[in-house]
Amino acid sequence: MTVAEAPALELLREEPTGGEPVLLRRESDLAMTERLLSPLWVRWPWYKYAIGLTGLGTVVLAFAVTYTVITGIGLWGNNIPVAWAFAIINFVWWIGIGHAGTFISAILLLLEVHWRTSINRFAEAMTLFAIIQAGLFPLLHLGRPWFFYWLIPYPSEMGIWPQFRSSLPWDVVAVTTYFTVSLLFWYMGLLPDLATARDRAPMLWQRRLYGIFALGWRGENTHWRHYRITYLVFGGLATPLVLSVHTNVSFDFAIAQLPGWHSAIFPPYFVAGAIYSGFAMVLQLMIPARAIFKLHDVVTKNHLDNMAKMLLVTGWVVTYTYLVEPFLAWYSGNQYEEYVQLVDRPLGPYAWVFWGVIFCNCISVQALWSKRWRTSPVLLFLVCCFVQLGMWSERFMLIITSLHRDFLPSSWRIYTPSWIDWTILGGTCCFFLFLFLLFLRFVPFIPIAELKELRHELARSESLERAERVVRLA
Amino acid sequence: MDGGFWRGPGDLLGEGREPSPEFPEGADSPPGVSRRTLMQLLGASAALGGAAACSRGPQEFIVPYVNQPPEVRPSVPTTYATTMTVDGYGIGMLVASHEGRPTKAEGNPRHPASLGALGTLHQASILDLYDPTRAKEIVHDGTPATWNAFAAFLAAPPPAGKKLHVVLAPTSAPHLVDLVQRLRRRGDVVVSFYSPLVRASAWAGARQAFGQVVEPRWSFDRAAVVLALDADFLAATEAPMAWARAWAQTRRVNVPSDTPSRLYAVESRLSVTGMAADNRLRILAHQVGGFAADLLAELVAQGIPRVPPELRRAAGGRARGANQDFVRAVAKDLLAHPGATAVVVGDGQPAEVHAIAHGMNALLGNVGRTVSYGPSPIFEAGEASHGMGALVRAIDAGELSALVMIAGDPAYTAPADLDLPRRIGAIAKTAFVGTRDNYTARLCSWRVPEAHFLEGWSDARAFDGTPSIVQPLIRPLVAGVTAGQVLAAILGNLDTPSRDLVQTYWRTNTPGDFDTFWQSALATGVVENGAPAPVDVRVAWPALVQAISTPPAPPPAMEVVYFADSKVLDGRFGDNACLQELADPVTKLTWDNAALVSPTTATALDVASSDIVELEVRGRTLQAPVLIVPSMADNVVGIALGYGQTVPYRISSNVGVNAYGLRDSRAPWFDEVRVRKVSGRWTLALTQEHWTMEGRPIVLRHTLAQYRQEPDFALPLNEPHERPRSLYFLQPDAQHQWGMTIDLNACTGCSACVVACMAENNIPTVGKGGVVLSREMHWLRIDRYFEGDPRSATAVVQPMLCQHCEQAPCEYVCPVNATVHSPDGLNEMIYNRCVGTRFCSNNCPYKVRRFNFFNYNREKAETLQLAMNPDVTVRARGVMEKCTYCVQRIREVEIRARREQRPLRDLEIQTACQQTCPTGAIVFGDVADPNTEVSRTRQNARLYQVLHELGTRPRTRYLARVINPNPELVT
Repeated sequence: MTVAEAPALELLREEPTGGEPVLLRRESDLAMTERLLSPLWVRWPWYKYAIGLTGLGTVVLAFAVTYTVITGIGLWGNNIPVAWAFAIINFVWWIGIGHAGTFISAILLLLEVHWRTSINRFAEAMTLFAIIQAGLFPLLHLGRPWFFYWLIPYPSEMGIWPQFRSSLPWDVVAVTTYFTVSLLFWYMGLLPDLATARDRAPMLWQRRLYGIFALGWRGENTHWRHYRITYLVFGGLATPLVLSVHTNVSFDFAIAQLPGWHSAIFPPYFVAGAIYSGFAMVLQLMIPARAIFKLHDVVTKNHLDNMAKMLLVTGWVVTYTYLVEPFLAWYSGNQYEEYVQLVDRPLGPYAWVFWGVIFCNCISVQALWSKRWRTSPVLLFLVCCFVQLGMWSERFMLIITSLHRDFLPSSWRIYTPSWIDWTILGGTCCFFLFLFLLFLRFVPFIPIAELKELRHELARSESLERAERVVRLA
Repeated sequence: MDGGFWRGPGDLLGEGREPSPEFPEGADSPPGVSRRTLMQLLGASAALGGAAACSRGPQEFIVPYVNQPPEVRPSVPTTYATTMTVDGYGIGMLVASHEGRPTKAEGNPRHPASLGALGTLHQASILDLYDPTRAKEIVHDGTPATWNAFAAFLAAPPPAGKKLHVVLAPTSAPHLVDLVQRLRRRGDVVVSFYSPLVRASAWAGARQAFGQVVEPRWSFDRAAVVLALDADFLAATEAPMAWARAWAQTRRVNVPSDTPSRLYAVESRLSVTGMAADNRLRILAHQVGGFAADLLAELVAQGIPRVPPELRRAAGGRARGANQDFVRAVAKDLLAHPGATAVVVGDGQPAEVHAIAHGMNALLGNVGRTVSYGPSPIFEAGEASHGMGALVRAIDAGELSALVMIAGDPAYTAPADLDLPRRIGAIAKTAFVGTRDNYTARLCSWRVPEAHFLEGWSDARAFDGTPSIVQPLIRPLVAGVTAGQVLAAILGNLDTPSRDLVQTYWRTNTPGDFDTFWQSALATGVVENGAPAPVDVRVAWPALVQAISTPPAPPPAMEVVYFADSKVLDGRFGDNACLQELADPVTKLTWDNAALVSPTTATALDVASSDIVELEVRGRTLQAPVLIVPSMADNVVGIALGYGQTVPYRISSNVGVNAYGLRDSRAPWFDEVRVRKVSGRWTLALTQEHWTMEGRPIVLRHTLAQYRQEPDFALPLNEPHERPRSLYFLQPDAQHQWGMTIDLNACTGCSACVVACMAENNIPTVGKGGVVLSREMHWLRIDRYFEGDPRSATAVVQPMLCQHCEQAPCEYVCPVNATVHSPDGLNEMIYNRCVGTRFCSNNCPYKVRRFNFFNYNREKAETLQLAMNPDVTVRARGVMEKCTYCVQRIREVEIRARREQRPLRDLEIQTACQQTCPTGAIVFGDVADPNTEVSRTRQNARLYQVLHELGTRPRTRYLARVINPNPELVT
């Protein structure tokens, strides 16, 4: 069923912010359950090609990773002075993408924004898979990855602890905490739907499988009570994490004295950038899924509109930072800062990256001032692609152009990524999509229980309104 | 149930059909291999083992010392004095040997050519000993042969009317000279000498000027003005360390009243000396002679005393060329310092220029003050026996019975017009004695491995004639023989050990007790009082009159200049990875040579660096990559010799292009050339790609006038920082606080320190690809910047190594405490704690940290592993490394002092770079003690910190460069 077929639109309550409602149909609980669970049971003709292709990419990634671990990161394009390159760019990019899910599920939960309901599971899964990609890189980029655990504070025999003035041990803590909380939050939210899937599954093995993961959920009152409390607690726990993880990631640069890195604006700048790219990624995944699974009634234009507005806001925060950085470089009178911000980035050998970033992150997003662009899936998708590319390039600009020309011109060099670098980047994209496809296939990706709840809430307020109207008319 | 026997009730009652086996299955034979198979395998192994034993493997001793030799203490190196020769000139060195393995060469302080320092080549020459692809066995026509067979070949008398021709490298070795003279007396042996870098024109110039072949012995420490005419005397073959040290002594500036000497350089390419010069004139090598003649005429015109009348007449009539401003200013300056100047001419200039310079030195009163003359240490210097002429004529006349070459790689290095490979090929009996199976060896029927100088006995004379013994430190790793042994074999002495040959000479030529003499010569590394006295010279003026009367020939439109490479010299060090990866002091080029051109010339030719040009000299062509070098003379193409070898060497094959292919015997050093751009590009591996300082205060440089006006100019970059308010700030509190000062006035950029650092600290090489990716591992590098207009830019150099910051940016970003501060102020790197995040490198503002991107040491040949310093960890893949201030040396001396219960002495600890610095630019010591040398350097007003404003409080500090250009010349 498409939007056009949705019945009695005029009956539905408009969003207070204007625009389309967040739920277009008022079908029965049973019908909604059946409809939203059906993707789990039916065959998808395109699926085997998609999973095969992304699976192949994952295998290539495994090959590139193994080759790197066996031979050394000399296979990459890194050098001295550009000792950090693709691995850290990709890490920051993926971890940034991973921010949208928790933002949607935790912060919007606490703010009681109800358009989050249809998309939160989707976004959370995306977060988990993005953190998995991100987590690969700090490990891989180590010269001796087998000693990664030295960054973890454990009581070692020799009494040596990590060096806590560095931001890197805190990165380990931040990212692992974030992953753990995100995973539990996501899984918690899944329990009622897993139980529904268990109850509705056509095959025995499916019932058994979903039964195991449903952890004995029977929908009792006590279950719901505990569920509600836990969900809120997780929302509270995850909210500061949205801010702290990328703040800490930004310290990986901000605590250095390198021109272009040494900047107090980095924490808010990084968080905004993370949410920016994360929302873009949610939209990039949601828009095709909405079309494929015909979810126009649960993921409405209102969702697209709201998400696009978030993009516009975070895009402007990022743009503001781009303006502040060169200004401060000039205002500080520090010649090294000035060189990086005012000469090397806009005019140096990587100027095309800088101007690409400006176009993708600052200019392309301005199209979203137009409601038509905000609500048109295709145009929005296009803008999101630019944002995604722009945010990756921004990290490239940030890391490479700061490193490749620092204080002593004698060590200035050009960085060129190797084919292994590109393979690993492409491989993580495939691995990410691979995991996401598995998620779509085996997990109820629209939160059914929450949607039913939302429908009840909406129905109640709608009937109230109708009653009020009747009273007023009378 | 035969016989009614039963084993148990079950058996008796017929319940169990099968009796249970007494032994488990397979108990009679080991699982898998039966006894029969085992015996077969044993037999076959024994038989094959016996067969394998037929090949002669290397002798290996695995028995520990039962009675330890008194001179060998495990882990404590023993140092021996020995001598290395470069084209006959002896350079005395002290070589450390760890348990019998020579590991590191340092200069012999008693030797006049080294004075305790060594250059790049000399230090790296140890690695040639361990070259896994050295010539290993005697080969005759492709089959292994014995020394006796070769000796029989040598000793066979030549047929009537024919002569055995022996080609040696130029030599000063007394015992070889004795053998050569004995051979000559036989009448049927011709001995000649060949080196592509032969100093023929210098010798000829001395003969022109003085009527005899003498060599100057410079005392640059007494010279207030030095004029280098196409002369790279700071990197000369004969005595680079001694001369650089003497020159640097005149460059010290401690207080504004000190006046450093002034160095003029007149040259076509940019040399190390040119980079150090205060005033530089860029002209074609063709024009240097005209410049010298103009200068002599100008000196006469300005009233230099004691001028012979015929010279005065010739000078007055001379038609001057260009650059007269420079000529006048230099002449005036030279005249203002009578007896305290030096005019030096490079080996590449023709004899007349040398003669003119000798004349100028005589007129300026320098003889006996800044220069004295002595006989050349090289045997038959300036005689016809040097060079290929005699050999070529003899080959063409068919007078040779056989040719024996013990001299470098003549087929590769000989001028192209001689077509030597063809001529060698035309001789039936040829033999080559050398350490490598080089191009010449491959043309010869006999190939004989030569002993490395650390493997066989010999002797040599220094530039001033001081003899010294070449003492081996190790038994020959391969079956190498010395040149002396080959000559002796020609004389019929088949199996004389090289030591006997050397001893025989000295026994007959030593007054007094031989054993005492021998012990002392070996222990000190020099033969005391063995140098011939200076000779009195008188200038033969008519030759000079003729030289300056000749009007200068018009220079060619474009000139090619050949020069000995700073690293591989004439190609002989080509298979030395350490040298190949060393950045050229001027161009910073590694693993290649290139056609060096000035920016203007490059524009005229429409080429950029890495483009390829075709050079055409006298009909021969060569394609070479272009490298633009600021401040070179225009219309000059400089190209280093020694590259482009086609023989399949381990590492030097197809590295660079072969400039010998252009070189002509009539114009061995510079020639007319036609240049044209061709298609294609060639990646050049430079260790430094950005050549300006971007206006940053990195190398501070003031002229003397500026400095006197503002003596405290460096002070803003040396002000002590306020103690930062920090939770973490820990003041190092040990008694000794290590620090280093580098005097940029003394540093010439010669890069000897870089090699010393590599040898001391087991620094691996990464190959051309690694350098292209900027992954070279040098802990110490020489940064070279150009200032000013690229066409006439001034070069400055700066050794850059870990600054051992007190507030080290690397330390607080390391997540695992792998780089920490020691109580005595060292920034320490703990390799086995490093996980390789490289955050430290990102945060190092000096970018002196180096990362092991691969396991660079894994592929190292086993023999090369012998050259490693056992006191320093060999780093594995994935860890960061950097300069440690040679912490192993610090701790060694500290322990020794503690054992001897005495305080440390100043300068007792020497870092490897400091130890080998020829000019003494590097001083290391305790900065907490005000009485140390390093603390005294810190009182100098020129002291500054690089990137002072970052507050890193570096322990390595620099003394700003104060140059002394002639105020009359605008450079």
